[in-house]
Amino acid sequence: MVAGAFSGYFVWTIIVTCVLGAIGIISGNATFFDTIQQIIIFGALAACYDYFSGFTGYYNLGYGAFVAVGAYAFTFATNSGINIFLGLIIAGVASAIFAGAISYPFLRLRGAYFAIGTLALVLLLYYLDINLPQFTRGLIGMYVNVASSVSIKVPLLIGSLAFLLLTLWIHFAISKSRFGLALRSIREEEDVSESFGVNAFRLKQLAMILSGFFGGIAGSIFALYIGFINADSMLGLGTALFPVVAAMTGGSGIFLGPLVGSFVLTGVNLTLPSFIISLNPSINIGPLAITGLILVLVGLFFPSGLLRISYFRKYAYLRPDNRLFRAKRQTVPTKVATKT
Amino acid sequence: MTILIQGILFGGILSMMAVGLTLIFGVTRVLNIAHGDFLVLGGITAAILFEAFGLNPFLTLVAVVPLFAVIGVLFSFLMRKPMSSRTAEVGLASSVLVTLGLSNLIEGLGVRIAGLFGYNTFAIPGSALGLGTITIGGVTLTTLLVISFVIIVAISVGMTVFVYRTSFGALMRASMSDREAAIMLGADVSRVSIVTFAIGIALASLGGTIIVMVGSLDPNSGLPFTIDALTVVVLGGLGSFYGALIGGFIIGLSQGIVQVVLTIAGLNGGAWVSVVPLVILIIILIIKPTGLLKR
Repeated sequence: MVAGAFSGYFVWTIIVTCVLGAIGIISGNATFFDTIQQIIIFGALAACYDYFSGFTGYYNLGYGAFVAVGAYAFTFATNSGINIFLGLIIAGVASAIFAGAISYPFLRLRGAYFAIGTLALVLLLYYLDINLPQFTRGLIGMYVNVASSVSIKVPLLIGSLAFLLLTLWIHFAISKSRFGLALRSIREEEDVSESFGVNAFRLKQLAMILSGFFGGIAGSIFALYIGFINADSMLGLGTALFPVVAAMTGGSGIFLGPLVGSFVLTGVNLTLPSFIISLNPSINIGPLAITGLILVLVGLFFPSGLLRISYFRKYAYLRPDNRLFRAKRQTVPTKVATKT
Repeated sequence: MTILIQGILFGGILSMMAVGLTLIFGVTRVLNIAHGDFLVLGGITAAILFEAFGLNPFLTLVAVVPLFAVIGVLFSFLMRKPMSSRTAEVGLASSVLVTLGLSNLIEGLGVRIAGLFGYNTFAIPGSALGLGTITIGGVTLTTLLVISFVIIVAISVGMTVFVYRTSFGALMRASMSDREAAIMLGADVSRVSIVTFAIGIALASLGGTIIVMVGSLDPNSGLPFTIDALTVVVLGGLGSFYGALIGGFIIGLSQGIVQVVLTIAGLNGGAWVSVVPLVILIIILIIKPTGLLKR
């Protein structure tokens, strides 16, 4: 299933991201470091969102709930003295259980109703979080104790980079596998694929649990980065929808799509406001408005994502999912790739 | 008791917003996530007019609503590209991205501009309007509530008449049922779309004007209102006019009831009130996703 996953495509990704990470560490520039770190973390978050939504075509707007469950589980675990790595696993498992549980009521919804329902779910969690401060400390929040040591910054960058590469590799592997093929058949015509023997519910549930597990771990890394979690930072609509928006901006279901989306949105969010201020100090447009503007432009001109625009169409035959089709096909296509 | 009445009033505002949202979706297939932000903008405009000129918001309604109808027309021009997408999937994704972006843009810029002027929240205190209270059937209500309620009922009746009795309403209903067939039968669907956007946004701004008098608004509160309206739309059925109308009152009333029950039980009713629409939404989606009334 995963043979050939280390194609040139992927190796280049590893090289480029490691170089960027190294630049981030070596250069003393704290802003640059932060930007790279955030791009990595949000890229991983978006990629995990894409495990479910990119392949099945259902917009899981409640993905923020998986992230938050993971982050809270991680914080509870490590604040009680559990080892960081064990805490990460615990967070992933907690989030996966949550994902599996909600898949029973929610996976019977289709299309727009699924999107609205999962959005309502994450909002519900937000209000539960605020209104039950005796358990969750709501808006006041709690500190992630293990993140208090300053020396965690560089290891966190390296660790999150490794995690990002892992999530991208899983995304790549899914798209080249029969599992991914089945998920994509669900996206095209769910009922017809069921009559071909695809157990839609089980596969969707599996994809959702994968998304939950890795999303939970990604959420824990996010909590480590911020050092502090509360209802607004984890379940606020801006944070909860950011992975969704990043994946949709870059291209949902395409390798590197979520990372490109995260790169564009985070990069612009963090650099454009200060750039505008340096041009004209009296104009202070916040990151929210900038994100909004980018979303409007993307929605108007690149609604399927930046990586699906016609300029990249000629490179489409290199895409991992196309390579699976070509491997299975009997006829030789006109354009044969000569590099692996 | 006042809480129940306020709940019904809020339900009325929700139903107006939901009617706008469901009409827009039915005619143009655009899911307008920025709907709540137009409500907030309408309220802020009314508040600014009050602060600057001391005009009674009930009077400035005559200015605010047509202004937002024009804004609705401009908005329809923005949405032309998503409306003419090749597939329904891409169209939905595109319209969601654009309206979500617009919502973020309005909220982000709104916070900055409001901060520039020194305001954080906007409200028009009822006492400043110099209205008293009315006693009906032994229950004392502020005149504000009564007038707002009358306006909402009048608008609801007016909209029902418009959609179901006028020829233009028939055009709208035809476009909602089957867009291609309506085009083939000679309906100018693009004109209907523009007018639908205008009506929807105008209704939202009307709701905002009332809310800014009863409660308070700040630029960030657009999205929660949209979610509430979306709840009503799903409850009533996407694209069903009566569903949106009735659904709004149902949710408003449920919020009031839950708040009263929780207050009697000694818990803080106000905090949980926002949870009610979400729980109802999830239950409805699980039991009957197509909504109470079919299209």
